[in-house]
Amino acid sequence: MILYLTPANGLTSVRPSLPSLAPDALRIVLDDSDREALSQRSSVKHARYGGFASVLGVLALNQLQPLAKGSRRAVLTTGSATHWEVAQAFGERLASSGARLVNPVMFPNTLPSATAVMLASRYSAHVCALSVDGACTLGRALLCVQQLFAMDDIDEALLFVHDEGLLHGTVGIAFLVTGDPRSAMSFAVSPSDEAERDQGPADHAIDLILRRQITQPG
Amino acid sequence: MTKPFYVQGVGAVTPLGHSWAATWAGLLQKATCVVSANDAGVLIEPDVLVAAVSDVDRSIVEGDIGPAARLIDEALAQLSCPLDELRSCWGGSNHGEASKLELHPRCVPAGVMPLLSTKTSPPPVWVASACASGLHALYFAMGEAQTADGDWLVVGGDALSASGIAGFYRAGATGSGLPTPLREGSGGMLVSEGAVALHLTTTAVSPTPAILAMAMSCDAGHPTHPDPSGHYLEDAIRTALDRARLRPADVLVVVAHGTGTDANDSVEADVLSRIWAGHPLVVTSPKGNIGHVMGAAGLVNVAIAASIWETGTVPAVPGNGRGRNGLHVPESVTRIPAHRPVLVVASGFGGNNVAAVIV
Repeated sequence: MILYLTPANGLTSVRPSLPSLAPDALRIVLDDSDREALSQRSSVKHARYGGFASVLGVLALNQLQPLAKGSRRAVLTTGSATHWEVAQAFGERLASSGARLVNPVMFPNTLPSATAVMLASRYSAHVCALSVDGACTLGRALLCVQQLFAMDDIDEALLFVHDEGLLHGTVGIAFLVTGDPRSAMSFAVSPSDEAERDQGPADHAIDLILRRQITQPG
Repeated sequence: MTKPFYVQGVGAVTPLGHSWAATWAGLLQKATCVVSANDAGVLIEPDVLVAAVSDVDRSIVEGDIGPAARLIDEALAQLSCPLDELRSCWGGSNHGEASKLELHPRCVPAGVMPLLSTKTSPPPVWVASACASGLHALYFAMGEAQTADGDWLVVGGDALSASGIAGFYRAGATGSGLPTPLREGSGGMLVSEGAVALHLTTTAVSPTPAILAMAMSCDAGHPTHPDPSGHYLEDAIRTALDRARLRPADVLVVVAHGTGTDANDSVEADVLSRIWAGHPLVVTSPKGNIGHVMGAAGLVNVAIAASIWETGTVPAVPGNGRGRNGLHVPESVTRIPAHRPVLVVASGFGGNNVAAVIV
């Protein structure tokens, strides 16, 4: 089965002089001011209580929303443990102040599926909102999307890939996954061909884009 | 999906016992297991009532797996399936161990995958959708089984953690006593722990419970509360029944998500009473006995449904209050004809809903 992927980069506004999908725009070491600016730009409510992945996911999704046409939608996320940052802050507050003073808004954001849930509410994904982890994660996530198509559960899906590191930089790439090309940026993939690639999900996502030499929204 | 997915074996560790046989026996005996979190070895202030597995090693040691992975490992060891010749392995969990000290990279979910990777071939795929995780993992395994034959492993598990308990406490979801799911006046949920491992195949030689159809939906609304209309949960249940080519009247029992919270149970009761209006239905939930085992909750419900299918015996739900919306929530063990379809439901934060039909 062939799926079409249309990519969008949640970091686009950090290097406005670069094409959106240029290699140097896909993975960037962010400073605090970058993160603050991205959070504000995303308009994510309670962004400071949630994972930064949600901010990048929303920014990428906003670019893809005009192309979303299907009524049955799913969200899958993969990448670094997007919830750990929040879970750590939640745990520190719990340890210092006790259960009565932890912030209940933070609690659902301590879950691995928190980013998927945030994106599902923005994307009206009424089929599922979940995260996928494991070996060859992006390839396996693509196989999950393929299964959802095969079982006639969805018309399209949002697949968000996130990575974050102080040294190796941040990645926030979303793919609109469809059965037909939605824009000049769309490219075809065979999920079974991608399933065994021994790459981290963020590197795999960047590789998918660079293999097609797509740099600028069409 | 119409190709049956046979439940060949169930491994389980729950607060009612260290096997599925012990858990099922406990459910039929209306056993309960409420303890304080501090007594269970999870330090939290204020102390909160929980359900806990006995004799859990809660230590977190550099380079070792955490307690949730230990629970899953124990459930896995009870199965006799060919772990090195699986078609695939799927797993799911909530977040079990999210406290700061528990954020060791080899804890759930990261901790389970290295563990399973050393034991299963191919390596596992891990799905997280809060308390619907286990059933979502089963869903994708079953999707693969529609076009292939062989053996599948599906596991789910979570361990008690201070963060998890505190989160539910602060959200107002925990109660002050034994939950009475799906009964009027139920006072809240009981945070729990446990693991389930299912060995599934696409063929069976003798009468064996099978998953015949599954469906899922997402409210895509509030991060913690279900959609008050229940529209999407209803859609998942009706789609699962349609895929199984069954009418509501064909199903006599639902093993509900039934957490014991007003937020979940009021919506779920509304949905079930709408779908089964005018038809007899027994609704049960194990969360008054074993508590809410988080990511394994859906798989526990599948195991219960399989045992109901085999024995025609439906476990009771604690308490003696009326069932919500007039639903028949049994106060004592109830008999139905064996080998009749049973419906299973699991829901999770973010509005994820999954339904499965067991025949």
